[in-house]
Amino acid sequence: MEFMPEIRAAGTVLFFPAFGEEMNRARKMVSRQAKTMALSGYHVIIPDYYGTGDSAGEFLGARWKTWKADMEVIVSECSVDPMMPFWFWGLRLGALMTMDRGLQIAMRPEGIIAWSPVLAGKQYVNQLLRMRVMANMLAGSKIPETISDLRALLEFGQAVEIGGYELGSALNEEIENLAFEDLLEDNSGEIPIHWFELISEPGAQPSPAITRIAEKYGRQIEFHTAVGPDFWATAEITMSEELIANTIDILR
Amino acid sequence: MSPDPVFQQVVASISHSLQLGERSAQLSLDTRLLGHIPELDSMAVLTVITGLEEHFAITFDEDDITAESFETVGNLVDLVRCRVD
Repeated sequence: MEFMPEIRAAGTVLFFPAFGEEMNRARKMVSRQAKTMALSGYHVIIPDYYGTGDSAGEFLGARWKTWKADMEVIVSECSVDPMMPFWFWGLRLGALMTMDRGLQIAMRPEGIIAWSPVLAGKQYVNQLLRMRVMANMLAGSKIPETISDLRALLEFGQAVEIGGYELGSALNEEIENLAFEDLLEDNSGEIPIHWFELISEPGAQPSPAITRIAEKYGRQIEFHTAVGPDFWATAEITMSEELIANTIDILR
Repeated sequence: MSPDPVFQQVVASISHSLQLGERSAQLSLDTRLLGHIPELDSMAVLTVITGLEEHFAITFDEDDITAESFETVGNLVDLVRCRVD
Protein backbone atom coordinates (compact mmCIF):
# COMPACT_ATOMS: atom_id res chain seq x y z
CA MET A 1 0.00 0.00 0.00
CA GLU A 2 1.36 3.41 -0.89
CA PHE A 3 0.24 6.89 -0.08
CA MET A 4 1.22 9.35 -2.78
CA PRO A 5 1.34 13.03 -1.96
CA GLU A 6 -0.61 15.40 -4.15
CA ILE A 7 1.92 18.15 -3.87
CA ARG A 8 5.53 17.84 -4.83
CA ALA A 9 7.18 15.12 -2.77
CA ALA A 10 9.05 16.18 0.35
CA GLY A 11 10.54 12.73 0.68
CA THR A 12 9.75 9.09 1.26
CA VAL A 13 8.75 7.20 4.37
CA LEU A 14 9.10 3.43 4.53
CA PHE A 15 6.98 1.74 7.18
CA PHE A 16 8.13 -1.44 8.94
CA PRO A 17 5.06 -3.29 10.26
CA ALA A 18 4.44 -4.89 13.62
CA PHE A 19 4.03 -8.67 13.65
CA GLY A 20 0.76 -10.55 13.50
CA GLU A 21 -2.28 -9.42 15.44
CA GLU A 22 -0.55 -6.26 16.65
CA MET A 23 -0.46 -5.01 13.08
CA ASN A 24 -4.13 -5.79 12.54
CA ARG A 25 -5.10 -3.69 15.49
CA ALA A 26 -2.72 -0.87 14.58
CA ARG A 27 -3.73 -0.68 10.95
CA LYS A 28 -6.15 2.22 11.25
CA MET A 29 -3.73 4.30 13.30
CA VAL A 30 -0.95 3.63 10.84
CA SER A 31 -3.15 4.59 7.88
CA ARG A 32 -4.16 7.78 9.63
CA GLN A 33 -0.56 8.72 10.24
CA ALA A 34 0.39 7.85 6.68
CA LYS A 35 -2.32 10.15 5.38
CA THR A 36 -1.05 13.08 7.41
CA MET A 37 2.44 12.36 6.11
CA ALA A 38 1.15 12.31 2.54
CA LEU A 39 -0.60 15.62 3.15
CA SER A 40 2.77 17.01 4.13
CA GLY A 41 4.19 15.86 0.84
CA TYR A 42 5.62 12.45 1.75
CA HIS A 43 5.42 9.34 -0.36
CA VAL A 44 4.59 6.69 2.24
CA ILE A 45 5.17 3.01 1.58
CA ILE A 46 3.30 0.59 3.84
CA PRO A 47 3.91 -3.10 3.31
CA ASP A 48 0.72 -4.80 4.47
CA TYR A 49 2.44 -7.71 6.09
CA TYR A 50 5.66 -9.56 6.19
CA GLY A 51 6.13 -12.17 3.54
CA THR A 52 5.49 -15.79 4.29
CA GLY A 53 8.81 -16.92 2.95
CA ASP A 54 7.49 -18.70 -0.08
CA SER A 55 10.09 -18.96 -2.80
CA ALA A 56 9.63 -20.82 -6.04
CA GLY A 57 7.19 -23.21 -4.42
CA GLU A 58 9.49 -24.10 -1.60
CA PHE A 59 8.10 -22.96 1.73
CA LEU A 60 10.99 -21.56 3.68
CA GLY A 61 8.95 -20.41 6.58
CA ALA A 62 8.83 -16.79 7.63
CA ARG A 63 12.26 -15.65 8.74
CA TRP A 64 13.54 -12.35 10.00
CA LYS A 65 16.05 -12.40 7.18
CA THR A 66 13.43 -12.99 4.50
CA TRP A 67 11.39 -10.16 5.94
CA LYS A 68 14.40 -7.90 5.59
CA ALA A 69 14.86 -9.05 2.02
CA ASP A 70 11.18 -8.29 1.36
CA MET A 71 11.67 -4.73 2.56
CA GLU A 72 14.67 -4.35 0.29
CA VAL A 73 12.67 -5.60 -2.69
CA ILE A 74 9.78 -3.26 -1.87
CA VAL A 75 12.08 -0.26 -1.89
CA SER A 76 13.59 -1.23 -5.21
CA GLU A 77 10.16 -1.76 -6.76
CA CYS A 78 8.61 1.50 -5.63
CA SER A 79 9.72 4.56 -7.46
CA VAL A 80 11.65 6.17 -4.67
CA ASP A 81 13.35 9.45 -5.46
CA PRO A 82 16.93 8.94 -4.24
CA MET A 83 17.54 12.67 -4.10
CA MET A 84 14.85 13.27 -1.52
CA PRO A 85 14.95 12.60 2.22
CA PHE A 86 14.17 9.01 3.14
CA TRP A 87 12.78 7.98 6.51
CA PHE A 88 12.29 4.66 8.27
CA TRP A 89 9.19 4.35 10.45
CA GLY A 90 8.75 1.17 12.46
CA LEU A 91 6.12 -0.11 14.84
CA ARG A 92 6.94 -2.65 17.60
CA LEU A 93 9.00 -5.46 16.07
CA GLY A 94 9.22 -3.39 12.89
CA ALA A 95 10.97 -0.66 14.85
CA LEU A 96 13.74 -3.14 15.62
CA MET A 97 14.13 -3.97 11.96
CA THR A 98 14.68 -0.31 11.10
CA MET A 99 17.86 -0.49 13.16
CA ASP A 100 19.08 -3.81 11.87
CA ARG A 101 22.49 -3.23 10.34
CA GLY A 102 21.94 -6.14 8.00
CA LEU A 103 19.20 -4.24 6.21
CA GLN A 104 20.45 -3.46 2.74
CA ILE A 105 18.50 -0.56 1.45
CA ALA A 106 20.32 1.67 -0.97
CA MET A 107 19.08 4.91 0.48
CA ARG A 108 20.41 5.90 3.82
CA PRO A 109 17.62 7.15 6.03
CA GLU A 110 17.48 10.72 7.19
CA GLY A 111 16.14 9.41 10.45
CA ILE A 112 14.31 6.59 12.14
CA ILE A 113 10.91 6.87 13.80
CA ALA A 114 10.46 4.04 16.27
CA TRP A 115 6.99 3.56 17.70
CA SER A 116 7.12 1.54 20.92
CA PRO A 117 9.92 -0.80 19.91
CA VAL A 118 9.83 -4.29 21.37
CA LEU A 119 12.43 -4.06 24.13
CA ALA A 120 13.36 -7.70 24.46
CA GLY A 121 12.65 -10.40 21.89
CA LYS A 122 12.67 -13.13 24.56
CA GLN A 123 10.01 -11.43 26.59
CA TYR A 124 8.02 -10.66 23.46
CA VAL A 125 7.98 -14.30 22.38
CA ASN A 126 6.92 -15.25 25.89
CA GLN A 127 4.01 -12.89 25.55
CA LEU A 128 3.07 -14.40 22.21
CA LEU A 129 3.09 -17.85 23.73
CA ARG A 130 1.04 -16.64 26.68
CA MET A 131 -1.45 -15.22 24.24
CA ARG A 132 -1.85 -18.63 22.65
CA VAL A 133 -2.28 -20.28 26.06
CA MET A 134 -4.81 -17.62 26.96
CA ALA A 135 -6.77 -17.96 23.74
CA ASN A 136 -6.85 -21.69 24.27
CA MET A 137 -8.15 -21.24 27.77
CA LEU A 138 -10.76 -18.65 26.79
CA ALA A 139 -12.01 -20.94 24.09
CA GLY A 140 -12.74 -23.41 26.85
CA SER A 141 -10.41 -25.96 25.38
CA LYS A 142 -10.35 -29.25 27.23
CA ILE A 143 -6.77 -29.79 26.14
CA PRO A 144 -4.56 -27.89 28.53
CA GLU A 145 -1.55 -26.29 26.94
CA THR A 146 1.34 -24.71 28.77
CA ILE A 147 4.11 -22.44 27.66
CA SER A 148 6.55 -25.30 28.27
CA ASP A 149 4.56 -27.45 25.86
CA LEU A 150 4.78 -24.77 23.20
CA ARG A 151 8.48 -24.20 23.73
CA ALA A 152 9.07 -27.91 23.36
CA LEU A 153 7.27 -27.82 20.01
CA LEU A 154 9.47 -24.98 18.85
CA GLU A 155 12.55 -26.79 20.00
CA PHE A 156 11.53 -29.78 17.91
CA GLY A 157 11.41 -27.51 14.90
CA GLN A 158 7.65 -27.22 14.83
CA ALA A 159 5.80 -24.00 14.25
CA VAL A 160 3.28 -22.64 16.74
CA GLU A 161 0.16 -20.87 15.54
CA ILE A 162 -0.75 -17.74 17.44
CA GLY A 163 -3.94 -15.91 16.60
CA GLY A 164 -3.78 -16.91 12.95
CA TYR A 165 -0.09 -16.16 12.57
CA GLU A 166 2.67 -18.68 12.51
CA LEU A 167 5.70 -18.54 14.72
CA GLY A 168 8.23 -20.90 13.23
CA SER A 169 11.13 -22.40 15.08
CA ALA A 170 13.80 -20.42 13.24
CA LEU A 171 11.86 -17.16 13.43
CA ASN A 172 11.35 -17.74 17.14
CA GLU A 173 15.07 -18.02 17.63
CA GLU A 174 15.78 -14.94 15.56
CA ILE A 175 13.29 -12.85 17.51
CA GLU A 176 14.49 -14.13 20.87
CA ASN A 177 17.96 -12.85 20.03
CA LEU A 178 16.72 -9.33 19.41
CA ALA A 179 16.97 -6.61 22.02
CA PHE A 180 16.39 -2.90 21.46
CA GLU A 181 19.24 -2.06 23.77
CA ASP A 182 21.69 -4.14 21.72
CA LEU A 183 20.59 -2.35 18.58
CA LEU A 184 21.08 1.00 20.28
CA GLU A 185 24.50 -0.11 21.45
CA ASP A 186 25.47 -1.00 17.89
CA ASN A 187 24.05 2.18 16.50
CA SER A 188 26.79 4.58 15.49
CA GLY A 189 24.64 7.64 16.05
CA GLU A 190 24.87 8.73 12.44
CA ILE A 191 21.19 8.20 11.88
CA PRO A 192 18.96 10.11 14.32
CA ILE A 193 16.55 7.87 16.16
CA HIS A 194 13.20 9.20 17.37
CA TRP A 195 11.76 6.84 19.93
CA PHE A 196 8.07 7.25 20.78
CA GLU A 197 6.18 5.70 23.68
CA LEU A 198 2.56 6.05 24.71
CA ILE A 199 1.68 7.20 28.21
CA SER A 200 -1.67 7.08 29.97
CA GLU A 201 -1.94 10.77 30.82
CA PRO A 202 0.15 13.94 30.54
CA GLY A 203 3.16 13.76 32.80
CA ALA A 204 2.87 10.01 33.38
CA GLN A 205 6.11 8.08 33.61
CA PRO A 206 6.79 5.34 31.09
CA SER A 207 7.70 1.96 32.59
CA PRO A 208 10.98 1.66 34.51
CA ALA A 209 12.42 -0.52 31.75
CA ILE A 210 11.76 2.14 29.12
CA THR A 211 12.97 4.97 31.31
CA ARG A 212 16.23 3.17 32.04
CA ILE A 213 17.06 2.63 28.38
CA ALA A 214 15.94 6.11 27.34
CA GLU A 215 18.22 7.63 29.95
CA LYS A 216 21.15 5.36 29.15
CA TYR A 217 21.10 6.26 25.46
CA GLY A 218 19.90 9.80 25.98
CA ARG A 219 22.65 11.29 23.87
CA GLN A 220 22.02 9.07 20.84
CA ILE A 221 18.29 9.19 20.65
CA GLU A 222 15.43 11.60 20.97
CA PHE A 223 12.82 10.19 23.28
CA HIS A 224 9.22 11.38 22.93
CA THR A 225 6.04 10.48 24.72
CA ALA A 226 2.46 10.89 23.58
CA VAL A 227 -0.76 10.38 25.48
CA GLY A 228 -2.79 7.48 24.22
CA PRO A 229 -3.52 3.76 24.43
CA ASP A 230 -1.31 0.97 23.16
CA PHE A 231 -3.32 0.90 19.96
CA TRP A 232 -1.67 -2.29 18.66
CA ALA A 233 -3.05 -4.14 21.67
CA THR A 234 -6.51 -2.77 22.41
CA ALA A 235 -9.52 -4.87 21.51
CA GLU A 236 -11.33 -1.88 20.09
CA ILE A 237 -9.67 0.25 17.47
CA THR A 238 -8.02 3.13 19.26
CA MET A 239 -5.91 6.07 18.21
CA SER A 240 -3.57 8.60 19.66
CA GLU A 241 -3.95 12.04 18.13
CA GLU A 242 -0.96 13.29 20.03
CA LEU A 243 1.26 10.59 18.60
CA ILE A 244 0.17 11.52 15.10
CA ALA A 245 0.88 15.19 15.71
CA ASN A 246 4.23 14.57 17.42
CA THR A 247 5.36 12.20 14.69
CA ILE A 248 4.52 14.54 11.82
CA ASP A 249 6.40 17.29 13.66
CA ILE A 250 9.57 15.25 13.32
CA LEU A 251 9.24 15.21 9.55
CA ARG A 252 8.49 18.88 9.12
CA MET B 1 -11.26 1.44 56.99
CA SER B 2 -8.72 2.92 54.63
CA PRO B 3 -8.81 1.65 51.03
CA ASP B 4 -6.37 -1.13 50.18
CA PRO B 5 -3.48 0.29 48.11
CA VAL B 6 -2.88 -2.99 46.27
CA PHE B 7 -6.52 -3.08 45.23
CA GLN B 8 -6.36 0.54 44.09
CA GLN B 9 -3.22 -0.02 42.07
CA VAL B 10 -4.58 -3.18 40.49
CA VAL B 11 -7.72 -1.29 39.48
CA ALA B 12 -5.61 1.55 38.06
CA SER B 13 -3.48 -0.90 36.09
CA ILE B 14 -6.45 -2.89 34.74
CA SER B 15 -8.23 0.34 33.91
CA HIS B 16 -5.31 1.62 31.87
CA SER B 17 -4.74 -1.68 30.10
CA LEU B 18 -8.41 -2.02 29.16
CA GLN B 19 -9.06 1.69 28.66
CA LEU B 20 -12.02 1.54 31.05
CA GLY B 21 -12.03 5.26 31.79
CA GLU B 22 -14.83 6.18 34.16
CA ARG B 23 -15.96 2.56 34.45
CA SER B 24 -12.97 1.89 36.68
CA ALA B 25 -14.83 3.56 39.54
CA GLN B 26 -17.34 0.69 39.40
CA LEU B 27 -14.74 -2.01 40.01
CA SER B 28 -14.90 -3.77 43.34
CA LEU B 29 -13.30 -6.95 44.66
CA ASP B 30 -16.38 -8.89 43.57
CA THR B 31 -16.47 -7.55 40.04
CA ARG B 32 -16.39 -10.42 37.58
CA LEU B 33 -13.80 -10.11 34.85
CA LEU B 34 -13.40 -12.99 32.43
CA GLY B 35 -16.47 -13.36 30.31
CA HIS B 36 -18.02 -10.25 31.79
CA ILE B 37 -15.92 -7.52 30.30
CA PRO B 38 -16.17 -7.43 26.51
CA GLU B 39 -12.73 -5.88 26.13
CA LEU B 40 -11.13 -8.83 27.84
CA ASP B 41 -10.00 -11.03 24.97
CA SER B 42 -6.73 -13.00 24.94
CA MET B 43 -4.68 -10.04 23.82
CA ALA B 44 -6.29 -7.88 26.50
CA VAL B 45 -5.60 -10.44 29.23
CA LEU B 46 -2.00 -10.35 28.12
CA THR B 47 -1.99 -6.56 28.29
CA VAL B 48 -3.43 -6.70 31.80
CA ILE B 49 -0.83 -9.26 32.90
CA THR B 50 2.04 -7.31 31.38
CA GLY B 51 0.70 -4.10 32.89
CA LEU B 52 0.55 -5.64 36.35
CA GLU B 53 4.03 -7.14 35.98
CA GLU B 54 5.49 -3.80 35.01
CA HIS B 55 3.60 -1.80 37.59
CA PHE B 56 4.45 -4.05 40.55
CA ALA B 57 7.82 -5.21 39.18
CA ILE B 58 6.80 -8.84 39.55
CA THR B 59 6.76 -11.81 37.21
CA PHE B 60 3.87 -14.19 37.01
CA ASP B 61 4.51 -17.89 36.70
CA GLU B 62 2.93 -19.92 33.97
CA ASP B 63 0.73 -21.54 36.60
CA ASP B 64 -0.55 -18.17 37.77
CA ILE B 65 -2.35 -17.48 34.54
CA THR B 66 -5.57 -19.39 34.93
CA ALA B 67 -9.22 -18.69 34.27
CA GLU B 68 -9.66 -18.64 38.03
CA SER B 69 -7.19 -15.80 38.57
CA PHE B 70 -9.19 -13.71 36.18
CA GLU B 71 -12.59 -14.63 37.50
CA THR B 72 -12.89 -11.58 39.73
CA VAL B 73 -10.91 -8.46 40.55
CA GLY B 74 -10.45 -9.88 44.03
CA ASN B 75 -8.79 -13.02 42.68
CA LEU B 76 -6.40 -10.90 40.66
CA VAL B 77 -5.59 -8.76 43.66
CA ASP B 78 -4.83 -11.90 45.69
CA LEU B 79 -2.54 -13.16 42.96
CA VAL B 80 -0.67 -9.87 42.81
CA ARG B 81 -0.37 -9.74 46.58
CA CYS B 82 1.08 -13.24 46.51
CA ARG B 83 3.77 -12.24 44.03
CA VAL B 84 4.59 -8.97 45.70
CA ASP B 85 5.25 -10.62 49.07
